[in-house]
Amino acid sequence: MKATFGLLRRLWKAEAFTPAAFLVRAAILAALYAVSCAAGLQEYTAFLSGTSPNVNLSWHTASTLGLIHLLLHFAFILLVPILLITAGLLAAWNGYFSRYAKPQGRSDAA
Amino acid sequence: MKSNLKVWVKKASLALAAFTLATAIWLPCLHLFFRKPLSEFYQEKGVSPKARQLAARHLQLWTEPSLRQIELQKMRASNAEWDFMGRTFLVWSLVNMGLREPGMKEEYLPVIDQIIQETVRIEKQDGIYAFLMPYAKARPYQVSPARSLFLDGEIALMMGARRMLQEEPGYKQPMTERLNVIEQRMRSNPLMAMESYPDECWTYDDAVALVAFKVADRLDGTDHTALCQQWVAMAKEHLVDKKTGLLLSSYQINGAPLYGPEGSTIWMVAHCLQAVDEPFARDQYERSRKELGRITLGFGYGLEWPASWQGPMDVDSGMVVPGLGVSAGSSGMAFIAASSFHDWNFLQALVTTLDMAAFPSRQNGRLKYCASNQVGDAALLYASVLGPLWESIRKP
Repeated sequence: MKATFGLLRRLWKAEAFTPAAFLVRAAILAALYAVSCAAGLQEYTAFLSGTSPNVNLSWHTASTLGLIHLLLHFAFILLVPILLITAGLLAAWNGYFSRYAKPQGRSDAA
Repeated sequence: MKSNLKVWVKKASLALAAFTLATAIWLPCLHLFFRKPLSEFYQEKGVSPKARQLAARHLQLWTEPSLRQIELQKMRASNAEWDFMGRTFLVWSLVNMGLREPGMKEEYLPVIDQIIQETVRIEKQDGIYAFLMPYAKARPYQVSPARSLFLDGEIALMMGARRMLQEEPGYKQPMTERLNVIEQRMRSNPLMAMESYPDECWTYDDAVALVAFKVADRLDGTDHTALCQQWVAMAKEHLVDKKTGLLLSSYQINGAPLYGPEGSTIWMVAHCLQAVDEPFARDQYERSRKELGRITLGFGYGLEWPASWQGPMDVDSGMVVPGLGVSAGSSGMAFIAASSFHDWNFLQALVTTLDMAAFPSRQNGRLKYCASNQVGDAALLYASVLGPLWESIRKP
């Protein structure tokens, strides 16, 4: 448990433009989308067909809820995978750099 | 300080490059996660799983009045026409399903009859305005007594389709009466124009009425071939947009154009004309496909207007995605045309978009699309089962 919280804290405080930072953003978006799905906001996307999603709510409120879900959905299917791939690419680059570039730097310095 | 900034810029540039590369990797792959075999949506023989699930949801709406009331309330708040069209698409779908699976006829026929009878009852009780948008009352119809081709054509086709599945003598006379009114009004002016709204004629409704005539010919031995040919010849001469070669959507009773080739109309027109004049229908479909059908990164969609026509978005267009011009109404109708003309590549791309952006929701074997509504789902159901009814009309 402690280790998990430690990992989460390290991820949360991750420096910008690092793989961890991209992972955190992907995780936040995924979590928000999960909350939206659990709250049933997908029902409100009926506004896309020009239909009142819920006759007991004002059109404005219902459409706003639908729009929130729509944006989170597209963030989940578009942005989350892109953030994850970005994190992977950066991690691979950093790994490559630390394996090949650093030893050369040290020998230069020597 | 300068060195810190340099490091930051270097990191940001690297991250931006990685983000751009990731985007270039992901976007072309995205559709693969939503693409399923087309047979899940449409099958040449039998009924596809999605059609069965969509139908189960609609049958539930017609067997549980409280559920239906909620759905109709939602749609009527935006457009009373949708309540009517939801009924007609469902009847035409159930007829096609019955023709595909004759063993299921007994289950579908009571629902079909319930829909037809309730629709006619509402029209009789509340008048034609019950299923029209409020602006229909803003001015009088040019031809009196007021009749709407939208209602007469679709009701006649509902009755005719039901009779094609299994003859029901009770529908013969009311169907013939409606068709007689349509024929008489069409023959009363050189443009064969009959109003759907006051001084507003729609090619969608013309095309549906022509199919109803074809059904009557098949069932009752009448012959409206000349009438249909005459309409097609008139339409080619007076109702075609010169830039695109596509039929206009609506026009005044004197032939003055109102709306140009609108996606939410023309796809259905092409589908209906297939039962009347196959070469003209195919020409209209191919032009619509070129002007209004798009596939981007594996996702298919329909535009509401061709590039050469600047038209407003009306209630039938549904939500339109700014920039892309993707119209919910046009995309929904594109399913019907793509399925009708066996354009499997486009249909597959449309279904992929549906699964990506329409929020399918399944419960106990019943399917609905949250982003859609009852009429949208009924049109999708129709697209997934159409074929047998048109085939039986065209049979020599």
